[in-house]
Amino acid sequence: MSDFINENPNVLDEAQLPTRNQDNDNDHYDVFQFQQSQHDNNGLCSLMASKRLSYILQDAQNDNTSSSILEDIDSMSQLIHLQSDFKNQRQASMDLDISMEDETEERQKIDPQEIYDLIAHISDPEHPMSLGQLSIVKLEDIKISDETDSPETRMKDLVIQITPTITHCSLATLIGLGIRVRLDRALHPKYRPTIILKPGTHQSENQVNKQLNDKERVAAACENEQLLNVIRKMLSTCK
Amino acid sequence: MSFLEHQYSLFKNLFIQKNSNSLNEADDYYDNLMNDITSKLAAFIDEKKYTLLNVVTSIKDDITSVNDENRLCGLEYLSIILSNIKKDTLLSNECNVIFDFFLSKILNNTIDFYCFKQILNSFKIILTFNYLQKSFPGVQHLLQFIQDEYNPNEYVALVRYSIFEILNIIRINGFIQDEALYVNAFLNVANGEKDPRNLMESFKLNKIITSTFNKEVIYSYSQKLFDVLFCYFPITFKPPKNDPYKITSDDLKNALRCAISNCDYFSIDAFPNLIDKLTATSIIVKNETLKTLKDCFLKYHRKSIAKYWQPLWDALKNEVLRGSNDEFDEEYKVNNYKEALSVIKTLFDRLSGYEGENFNFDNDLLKFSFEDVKHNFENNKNIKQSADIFSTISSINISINDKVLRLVLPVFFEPINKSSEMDMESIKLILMNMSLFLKEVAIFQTEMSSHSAITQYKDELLVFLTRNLSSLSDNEIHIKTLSVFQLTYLIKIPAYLTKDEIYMISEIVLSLLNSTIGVNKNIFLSCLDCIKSIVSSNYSDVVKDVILSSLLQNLRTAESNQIFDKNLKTIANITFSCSSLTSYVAAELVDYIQPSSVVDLESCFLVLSTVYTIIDSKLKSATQKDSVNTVVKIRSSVELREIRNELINPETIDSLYEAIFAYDQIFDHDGCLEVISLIFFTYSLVLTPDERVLFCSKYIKPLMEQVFGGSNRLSILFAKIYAALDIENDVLPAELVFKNSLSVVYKTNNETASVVDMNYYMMVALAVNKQKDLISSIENLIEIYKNSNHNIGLMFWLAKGLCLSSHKECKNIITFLLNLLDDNALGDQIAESLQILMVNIPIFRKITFLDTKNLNINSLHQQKVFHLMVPILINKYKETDDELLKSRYLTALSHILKSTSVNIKNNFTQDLFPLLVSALDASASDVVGASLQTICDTFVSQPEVLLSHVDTLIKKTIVLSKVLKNGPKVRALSLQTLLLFVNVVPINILQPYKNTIIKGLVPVLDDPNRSVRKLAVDTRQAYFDLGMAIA
Repeated sequence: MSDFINENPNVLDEAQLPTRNQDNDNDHYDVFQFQQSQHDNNGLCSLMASKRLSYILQDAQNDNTSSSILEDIDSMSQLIHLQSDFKNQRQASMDLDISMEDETEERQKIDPQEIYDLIAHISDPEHPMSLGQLSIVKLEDIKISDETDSPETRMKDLVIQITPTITHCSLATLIGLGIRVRLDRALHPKYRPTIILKPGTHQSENQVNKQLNDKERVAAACENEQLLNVIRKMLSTCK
Repeated sequence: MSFLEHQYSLFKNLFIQKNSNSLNEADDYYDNLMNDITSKLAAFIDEKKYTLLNVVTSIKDDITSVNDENRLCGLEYLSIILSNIKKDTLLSNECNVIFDFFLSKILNNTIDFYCFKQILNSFKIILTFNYLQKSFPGVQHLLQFIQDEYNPNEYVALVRYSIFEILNIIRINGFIQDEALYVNAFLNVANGEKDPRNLMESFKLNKIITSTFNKEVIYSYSQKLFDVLFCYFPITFKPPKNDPYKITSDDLKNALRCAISNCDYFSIDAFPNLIDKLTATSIIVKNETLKTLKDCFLKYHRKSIAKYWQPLWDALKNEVLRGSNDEFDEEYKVNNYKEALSVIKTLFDRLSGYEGENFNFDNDLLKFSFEDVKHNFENNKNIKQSADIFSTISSINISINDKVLRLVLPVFFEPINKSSEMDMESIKLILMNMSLFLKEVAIFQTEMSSHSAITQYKDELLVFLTRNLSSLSDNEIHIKTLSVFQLTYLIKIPAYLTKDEIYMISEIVLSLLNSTIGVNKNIFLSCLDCIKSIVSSNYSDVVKDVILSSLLQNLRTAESNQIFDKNLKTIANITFSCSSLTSYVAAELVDYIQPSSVVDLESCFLVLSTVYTIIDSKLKSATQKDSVNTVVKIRSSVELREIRNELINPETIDSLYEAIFAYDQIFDHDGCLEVISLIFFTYSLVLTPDERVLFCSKYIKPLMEQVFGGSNRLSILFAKIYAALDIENDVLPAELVFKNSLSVVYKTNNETASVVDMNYYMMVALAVNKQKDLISSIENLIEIYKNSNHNIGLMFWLAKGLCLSSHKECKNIITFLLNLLDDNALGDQIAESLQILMVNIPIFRKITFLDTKNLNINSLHQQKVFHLMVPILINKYKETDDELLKSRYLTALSHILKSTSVNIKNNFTQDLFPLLVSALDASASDVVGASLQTICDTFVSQPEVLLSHVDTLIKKTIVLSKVLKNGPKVRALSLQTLLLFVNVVPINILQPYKNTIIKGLVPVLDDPNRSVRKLAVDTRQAYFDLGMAIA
């Protein structure tokens, strides 16, 4: 029961943070299942059906499928697949298999949710809570363009607006720095994060913004062993 | 020189030699010799050849000598002899004399310090002699000495321990004449004691005194006895590392606690002192105080506790209110918040039935204490703590529970009744606090009388809770979840809610499940829990009527796949948590595919799979399933029938059977037919032999002609049912199935579907497994191979059937198949097919009951096959130079490893490892994936084997994580391997690679697959943190 106890109404519960499942129907069934993706439509059921099945049979109490049916169907499918291979091979005596080679994966774009997941779990330097819980970072304040690579769009922009809890928050710079370090580590260098305070949320907005997006100053800050330690502690709760 | 004098002089020589040898090396040697002499003398005394007097006379010069060494030697000699003679040798007179002799050494202010140890030892021995008179005044003199002249500060711990021993012996052997004298003596001894072993003695003796001595004596000395205990409270003793007595801090604490709580007279001093200690800041002192208070409550008279109820309540209440963190202290391993609550519970529990002068539990303690915290509820201050206190009190027993609820419920409902509009925060608070109380009521599992508070507030509770669920906005997930929880508690109270009310709650739960927030995990779980409690209070018909029927209806009318799936998921989960509904739900779901005006095959498939899953999970929970060998054992046919009835009804099976033939689409859908067959498989597994005969004549016989007449889809169903039949069944003898299936296989052309072919192969495999003598030699097999036009699939299934039973030809057929690997045309196929031998599929599951079984399965078959194949493959790999063959062997190996459990693989890691590493360069992604997977598995269980390969592995996995063509699985696995290193590989080995890895993974951050990107981020983060202590 204590999971529901949340003394301060303005703080979000860990479970209330926006997650991928809520906002995207297609990802509804997105369970980390590599097996099915290998042979798309053969044997006993289609890939979609098996994804649906794994969703339906997911036991809500312990988060795993309580029956072996998915594995069973999967291994049966594999065996049937094998059997058809025999046949084809006997008929066409060794066509070289070409199916695997030209299969290109579709790119799952980096979207605001992905960025949010990267930074929402950073701990606040003062409170034992995460930036997401305190609504310092919000999903709607993240803007990113992730177009396919072309000479014009080779470098990609990413803008994150952060909302300090109070207008005179002295740690806004530190929080921003934490987010920057996290993103520098977690994103490909072609993404250029810009971190700014949400307009009107801080007394010395310009000053902080300048400080956060000045490469030299960020680099200098990262040389400071003590500061780096604080940031490491903040990042230790990332999931 | 007389004999005795001679013996003594021998002894003395040894004694002097021993003492002059300062290194103590030969102590044992001298002790043995000295013991020889003394025990010989003791035996003489026992036999009355000499008297003790003779012995004493022989050493009289020494024992009265002014020379310390001589006296010491004499007394030692005497005390050892005393310890060796029998307890009944000395007569009363002799005992008195010798006792008095030793007394003279310590009395009258002339304590013989030098020989004190020997003197005490002698007392210890004499006090155990049978003929020492209980009224012998010498003992009182000794006690007098201990009381007045003995000064504990002057002696070492060992001597002080002897005094405790003497006190104990005096007590045990009944020499106490004057209890007051004894207590005084004890008090003198216990005073200022610091040695842990002596303290243990002191606490124990104190406890014995307070439990066995005359009340008046105890009463008059209670203050002193208490002081000598409480001056140690609380003990913060840490035992030294090499403590010979192994006394722990907990031993001491327990002994002290027992002693303090043992005597009711202590209460006057104990309570004020303990209350005072409770204000301490040290967590450990607080914890000890709380524990001691609890013990005191349990042991002191209720009258004594009642005297102090007010200060005690105050102190404990403050403790709970102040200690807001309900947390386990990691450093000291204690949770004072919980401890304090439990002490309060004990206090109330003890006083609950007590009526004394000036004390009435209800009016004084309960009412006063509630008034004391009531304002907290009203002002929203420390609510959680206050609620915790009273819910803990309410858990004592049912009558106190009612009394507490009578006080609490009005307070909760006052704001609800007063204002129509409450803010969400207050509702949430009320719910959270209410839940603590309702939970306790539900735990009692007792019917409530109509006068009880909870019954009187029933309507208010229901209105409040249902209003929260039906009229609040969907954003209030917390409130709704909590409200469902409260309703669940109410349902759990026996006979509390009427059927109508259960109906109403079911309706609400249903609408909650159907609403948009039904997918929220908390809501979903709480609803499931609620449904579960409705079912377990025997209202499953309500669940069927209201919830399930509507969900099933939704399946039919679902407008989108998503709604369909959500409803099916809900149905499945309800069935998982209330397994008594299984057969009902199975029947209803099968019903779904009946009137299929629109036959959506995918939905049918999903429904059927759900039916199979709920049956299967029920069967698994009903039988003790051994997950490794998939063997289910059922003992009696009654048990079997019970299990089956809970699984699925015969009527449902009938409908399914009809469905196959009534709807061509279902019949032609591989997945549907397969799953239906699996349901049949499960059903026929749990039939008794008699029922099985009926079953077969009804369902199987009509099919036989079609199945064996030529390639037919019905083989899918047929094979599954055949798998479930007994080994020795009359309906389908193995030989018949074997011959007929083979003849079908021989005749097949290439037009038949592979799934049908495979089922015929499976039937052959099942047949040779059921009847071992069908295959008598490898020639049989080779003949089949030729007749079937070199059908590899068939051969592999045959091999599987044989391997499962560990048939004697198993080795031959495997060698035969592995040799085909070198064949250019067939080799690749063979390599892939090896997985058939290792894979686990449901129909090859053994069920044993009533002494019959469906298959011959050797529980170690997988291991045997593995051990047979892998060495051959490793050898083949080593012997060949042909790159093509090498990669084929690796493929074969990876297919075997893919379906082998870790514990079987483990023994081979050392040999396999070089192969696995070179397999990482293979071109087939399957091979790479399988070897990476094996590397990961091995790393977890046997990291030491792989340490020498860290360098190679890091380089290869970094490269592999970037190669797109191998598919996301290989990339993810390579990242996982790198991530594993952080936990497994010693940091000094890993540190040099840190920057290489961090840099090397930068491109992976832009991987097209999101999960791979996430893994790359995690892996890099782990390496950033490598070797950094978090401040």
